[in-house]
Amino acid sequence: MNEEQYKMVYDCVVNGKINDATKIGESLKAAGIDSKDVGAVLIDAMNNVGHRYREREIALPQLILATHSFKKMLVPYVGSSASSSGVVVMGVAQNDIHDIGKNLVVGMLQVYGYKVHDLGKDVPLDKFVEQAKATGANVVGAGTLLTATMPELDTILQKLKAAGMKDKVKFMVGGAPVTTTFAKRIGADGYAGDAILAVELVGELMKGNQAYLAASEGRS
Amino acid sequence: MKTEMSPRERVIAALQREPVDRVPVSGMAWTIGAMAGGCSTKEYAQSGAKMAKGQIAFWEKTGVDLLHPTSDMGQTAEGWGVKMRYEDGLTPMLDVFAVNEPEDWEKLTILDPMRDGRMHVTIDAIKEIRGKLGDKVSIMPYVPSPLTSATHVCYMEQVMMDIVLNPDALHKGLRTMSDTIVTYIDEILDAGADGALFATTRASGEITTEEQYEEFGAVYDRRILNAVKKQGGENILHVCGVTPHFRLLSEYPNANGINWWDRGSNLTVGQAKERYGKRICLVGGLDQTTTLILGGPEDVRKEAKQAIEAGFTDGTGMILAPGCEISPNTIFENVRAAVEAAEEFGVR
Repeated sequence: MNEEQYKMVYDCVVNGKINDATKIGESLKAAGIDSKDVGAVLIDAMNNVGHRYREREIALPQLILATHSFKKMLVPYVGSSASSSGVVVMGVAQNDIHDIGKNLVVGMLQVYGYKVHDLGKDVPLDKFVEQAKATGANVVGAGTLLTATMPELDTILQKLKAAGMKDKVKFMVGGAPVTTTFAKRIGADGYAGDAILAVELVGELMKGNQAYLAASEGRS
Repeated sequence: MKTEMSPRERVIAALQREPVDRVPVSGMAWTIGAMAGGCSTKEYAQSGAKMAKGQIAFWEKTGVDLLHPTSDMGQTAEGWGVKMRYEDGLTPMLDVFAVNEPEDWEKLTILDPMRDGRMHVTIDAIKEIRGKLGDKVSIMPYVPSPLTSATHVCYMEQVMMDIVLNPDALHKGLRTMSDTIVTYIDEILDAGADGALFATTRASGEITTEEQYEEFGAVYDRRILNAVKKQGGENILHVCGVTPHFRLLSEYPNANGINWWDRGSNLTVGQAKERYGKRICLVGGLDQTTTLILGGPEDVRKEAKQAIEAGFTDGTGMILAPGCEISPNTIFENVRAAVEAAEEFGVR
């Protein structure tokens, strides 16, 4: 990839030029640029976006536009990558439809090379277990935005244990009301305070570690 | 100051930063009201009588000073055409959004609170609670701000993108929703409410920048609070998240109180008291995500004592409360423990 192409990809994601993204992806593929090279620039760009988000220089609108831009840019490359950093099953717990954070996590993990099975929102709790089994997942992630549905995260973990899956997959939780304290109390292997930290967390879980990564602004 | 105030007097005095006989307490009881009243969440969301019964039952079991008759986020949104999903035992959920394209913002119309959506359920509940309990309780139902309402009628991700890509269209919708909310608050005050728990939930740094919230949130919030004040109502701004735009909200000319997740955000009750306590009532101190659902009464008592010591230093300007709605799994004894802690540690 030449310098001009690099700048084009980087600028598109950092500035959330969602309407240009697919066209740029197609032009790169037509030019014979490998998906790994595109992914490397996307990671550079998302590191920039993630840093500015964590510093509160930008907020959700820009983060969402950046995420959609890189996803659109990768559309022409879907299915072209043979390797994966790991397999993750991800969803929002039953009775909760708030999936914006989960979508960001899914998008970020895809950029970083993980194969993500996105179960969506309002996911029946048994489905987390079924999909973990069916996909040979390394990590199962569940989130919720509502205080009322926080106990569902514990139920998913109990179901993984009952199915004999607990030693085979790592279980991570997240969502606005979820905290390190809560994650540890229910016995989850990991917690991330935002989508950027979620990538770091999955990396730790893939190494077999536990990790609880609160956003620096929060205190729990 | 009266030596013994009614709960209604106590809450209003705290919000106006006048001396109180003791720290008032809110349980932030929304869905749990259905469990307290022994009715289904579906009935609770659709009947003012059932909602009132549930709220009164919660008050009887806990002794809180302040009630927030509320069932779910769809009470106003349903009026704009959002389809809800009702299932027994669950909080009704937004199922199909009404705004799916930027052009749809312009199609929203000003609602009649007595006819459209389920705003009338809350209005009926307020009348019944006030009629039965009089001044034994203060009533401030949940009312979503225009930007919060926008994320109830449209997929939040789309709203966030419209802030950047389609700001003019979004503003059209926000203006319409703003007009509706002013009318709704008029009705709840007429019904006997003391004000509104005004949900400014998107005023947090992980959702909007302060500049974005100023343009798409604050400009409408201030207009609504001005109307509330003219009607003689109080307000508590309710903000979610870990980096609330506390300074921006506290500088609203007519804001009375701010409810935030002090136990999970970047601002403790003590810090808020020091920085903003001279102009705003602090509503918080209890952790709905851990202590209230994982702990017992003694844990709640300790947490309440610490919060009161940090936030009630001048004998006013604090309401002991969770940072958001409490889980339906919360045991009533834990909320009762908060009230008892206020009676023990929060007396002047």
